[in-house]
Amino acid sequence: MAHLVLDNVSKNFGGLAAVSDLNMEINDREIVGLIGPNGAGKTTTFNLITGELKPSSGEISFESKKLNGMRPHRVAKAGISRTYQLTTLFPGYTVMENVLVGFHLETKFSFVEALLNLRSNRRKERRLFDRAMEVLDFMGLSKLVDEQAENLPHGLQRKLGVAISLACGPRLLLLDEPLTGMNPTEAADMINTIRQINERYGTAILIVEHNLKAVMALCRRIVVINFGMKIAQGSPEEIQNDEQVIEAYIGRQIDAS
Amino acid sequence: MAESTGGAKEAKFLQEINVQARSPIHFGVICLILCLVPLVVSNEYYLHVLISIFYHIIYASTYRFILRTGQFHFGAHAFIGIGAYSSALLVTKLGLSFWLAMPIAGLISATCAILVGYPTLRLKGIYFAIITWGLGDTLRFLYIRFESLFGGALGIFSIPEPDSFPFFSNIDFSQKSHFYVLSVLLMMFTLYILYRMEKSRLGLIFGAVREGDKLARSLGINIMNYKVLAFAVCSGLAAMAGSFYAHYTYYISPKDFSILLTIYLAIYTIVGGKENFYGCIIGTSILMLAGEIFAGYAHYQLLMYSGLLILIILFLPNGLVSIYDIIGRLFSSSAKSTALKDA
Repeated sequence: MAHLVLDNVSKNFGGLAAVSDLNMEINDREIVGLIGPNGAGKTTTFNLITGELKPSSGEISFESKKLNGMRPHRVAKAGISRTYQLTTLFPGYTVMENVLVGFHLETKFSFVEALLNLRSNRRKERRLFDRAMEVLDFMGLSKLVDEQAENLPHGLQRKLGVAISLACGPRLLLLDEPLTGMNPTEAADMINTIRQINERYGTAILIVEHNLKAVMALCRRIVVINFGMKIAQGSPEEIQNDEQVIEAYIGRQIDAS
Repeated sequence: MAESTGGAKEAKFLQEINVQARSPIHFGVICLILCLVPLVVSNEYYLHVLISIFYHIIYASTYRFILRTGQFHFGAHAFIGIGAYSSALLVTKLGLSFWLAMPIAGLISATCAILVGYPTLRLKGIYFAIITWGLGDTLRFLYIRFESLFGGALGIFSIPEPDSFPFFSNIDFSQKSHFYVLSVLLMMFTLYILYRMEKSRLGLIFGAVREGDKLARSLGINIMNYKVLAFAVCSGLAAMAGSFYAHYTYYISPKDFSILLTIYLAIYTIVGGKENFYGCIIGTSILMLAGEIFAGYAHYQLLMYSGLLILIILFLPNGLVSIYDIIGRLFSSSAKSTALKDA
């Protein structure tokens, strides 16, 4: 069953077509890689899916619900959560508080309840705390609960970013360059985590990443875009041997004759 | 404690929940103690100083709360003015009881905050500051222009004191001590609401909106609604204090609600410490007391405050309350080193 469907989606910034006629599908429980050279329109695609940008034309739907024109917090409610390239966490908060904010969608509390601070309210908070602990345990961050997020090393900050969006309970997770700036051990750890998320929670994952080796290892299906257009799609082997992809990444060989 | 998930040491969050459970008792006790002060202090001047500190604490803490949602608010005087003027007009022109006029003034101000908030809270930083400052000064000119309604530059005279309380006819407001108790109750009520908002899940979300609004939005938080909520609740509470001010001084004029008021609030908040809930309470108390002690040098007041502000920003960026933390850290580190020696 197709989960997320992009049907002929285009986005123009003035005269510049950042994304043009993009068709893409992500199925249930699938990890899909979205790759392409710098400026190919990968992050724009993410922003279109999450509602931060409105597509100029085309249709985006998730679980046969139309996403076009939905505001970001609504998209999150529909079950799509994302990480950002840069701001992946709330720097002034502790690790625990970061994840607790992620549970926002599940917490039903009213203004009055918060003011009165009833026992039921406190019990709810405790339950959330335990749930957050579970997520942190899963991400291997449970020892750092009271640490301030901005004091964590880069690799763990990234992990925390994923933990926050995981707390949202998404059915589709969009990861925007989750491996940037990581050393090989951290990257390997992250790849492992992503795979575990997919296996344990059954979350479909769309991943944008420049580390091609990682993408090839993670994804069974890869979509390549360049200048906003899809130029190839297929298994890692197919992608590696696709001429257009090679051309986009390393350029065309100049014929000597 | 039954919780063992956090390892041997209980996580901060759970400790916090336990503190929360006791907070109504703490507030009640503090309120009671403050209410008993007039039995000991009968000097009217001292009571007056305390009263003015109390309503300034309301102004400053509501102002701080809006700052904490990440908005550079510069129009606190606008909403305090709306509260004072609407309450004064309701009582003098319509003959309403003060006890009705005060909450209505709060509601009017909160409504204004919602109307202004939805279009302008999208703006950040200096732009939001300009808009709110503009709002405050526009209102000030309105008060001056429409003389028949607002009394022009001279303001509104002889605003009656609060009528005696419905069921307790022996409470009349001809005595300072009765005003004093009212100001304590109003302050504790406001502080309790702000405290609950800050320490509950709401506070967590307000902070998240400040720390990273994009990320917060992607987690399903409707950031606009939360910003407007904080703005409206704080403006409403500040307006109730403004209404109290009007009936306490019997007289309001446009110059009471100039930008200078907001500037003072900003100074109190930053000197006390913006990060800490008690910061602006301490800042307001100390600076206003200092202002009273050096009342003979009133011309230099703003100059001294500005100098202090610069010193605080340079040397104590978290305000006067951080002195407490610094001392605490000194002791804990010495305690730790002795513990190490023992081991």
